[in-house]
Amino acid sequence: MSKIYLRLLAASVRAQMQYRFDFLISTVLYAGLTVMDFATVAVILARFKIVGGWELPQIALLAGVPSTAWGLYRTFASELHEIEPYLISGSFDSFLVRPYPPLLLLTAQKFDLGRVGGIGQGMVVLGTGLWYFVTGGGAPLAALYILLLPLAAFGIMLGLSLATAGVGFWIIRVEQLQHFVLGAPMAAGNYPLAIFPTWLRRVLTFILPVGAWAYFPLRYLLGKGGSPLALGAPFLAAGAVLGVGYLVWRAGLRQYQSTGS
Amino acid sequence: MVWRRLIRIGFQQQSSYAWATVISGLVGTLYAFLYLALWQAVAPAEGAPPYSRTMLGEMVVLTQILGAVALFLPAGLGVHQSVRTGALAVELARPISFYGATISRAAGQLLHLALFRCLPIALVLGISVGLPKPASGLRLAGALLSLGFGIYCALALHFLMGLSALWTGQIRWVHWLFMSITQFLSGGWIPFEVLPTWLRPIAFYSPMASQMGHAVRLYQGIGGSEALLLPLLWAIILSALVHVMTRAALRQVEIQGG
Repeated sequence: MSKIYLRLLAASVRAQMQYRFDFLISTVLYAGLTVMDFATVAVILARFKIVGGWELPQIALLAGVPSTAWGLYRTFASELHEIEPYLISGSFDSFLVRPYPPLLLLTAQKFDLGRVGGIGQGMVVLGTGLWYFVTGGGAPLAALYILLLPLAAFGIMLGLSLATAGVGFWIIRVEQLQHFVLGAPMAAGNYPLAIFPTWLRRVLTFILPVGAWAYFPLRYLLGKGGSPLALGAPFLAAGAVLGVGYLVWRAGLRQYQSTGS
Repeated sequence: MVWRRLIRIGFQQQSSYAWATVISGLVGTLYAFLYLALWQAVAPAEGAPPYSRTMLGEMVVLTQILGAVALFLPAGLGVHQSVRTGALAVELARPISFYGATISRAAGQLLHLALFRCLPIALVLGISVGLPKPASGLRLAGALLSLGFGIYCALALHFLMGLSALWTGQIRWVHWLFMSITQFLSGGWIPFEVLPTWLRPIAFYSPMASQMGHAVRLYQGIGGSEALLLPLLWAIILSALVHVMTRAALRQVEIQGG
């Protein structure tokens, strides 16, 4: 199974390299997009210095985790995120008549090389935060743990995306739902959860658990409250969301009715 | 009349995606709560002059409501899809203005969005945090006029992005980058006064601010006559640019066989 996945990924990379100029332009524009995302946070913090008790280097840790994870998600699960055209045109049918799981075939359609730079940019933001963390007396072991957080955030994003795509088999148009499930929570994940009203904090903890991917563990590691149990939260949340997401995907897949002409 | 018919077609096209419109309203509302909480958390008691702390919240509410029709338009107004399928050649050959037809259909879509995205956001925010009152009746009229120019600018900008697909092949990235820069520089989410000093004039005089930011400032009693003049000036500049680019498109378009 992994062999066919890798072969399809290699074919996808070769296909993208046939359009080098397009690849270059999309890489540059995506880099600009990532910079703009952090610019909003940076401009606000440059003026007001502190958000909910968190300073710029600490916010860099908070924002660097989802930023890196988003790069991973859009690189490896590009077509899962872009499932809408497959559902509208009915071209998803082609995955159902091949002897491999449709999810594997869909995700192997495109290893989005243009997004690799996004992972690097996220790492630069995270790395800057980590540098301040370590030079400010943070334990090296804690720094290593923080480096693992983007993997958990990637798992949470993948799970949420699976659930959204699963719902897409019923409602077809999923772009706005993706904004609701991934886009808005991503924006919220750049800031400390404590600044939001209670009802929104609960949503961002238990339903769309962006609080789990960095806020809770970092709050503990930075001495701002919480317990050591928070360190397990990102990985537990990733496992749970991936499980639920996969079940929704399976349920949706059984519902898929293709399209007429 | 053909334009009215096209507006109706645009409205009907958008009606096919009722669920997507409802969910996009939810997204807009969620973003409003995020930014409201953010400004409450970061702004000191005195706010960010000339904005008081309350006015920052009102700015977010107005931006989320008006942005639902003035900013978040369909990518390229669908022009890039006509480029990809080759339908653009037929569209350009029709005996009516291609630009006029495209923005008429888009105006129909905007009417639908105003009813089913903008209004629900306004209702939810009105009930939960309250709707800001205009500084005066005259300013309300000015803000509406400024918004009208701004929506026209947004339509022209999206049309130009769609048309650019003739040269670039795809516009996905340009669209997202444009939306991101618009949110950053529009003055609707981050006041111009909060931006770094060197960036303030760039943002203030940019077409991004003219789409909606100036209208919001006028409504809140901050902007002067420039809040009307800048969107009008950009509307004229963009119209000229659309004219030039549409003529260039006539030379660039490829008729696909098959």
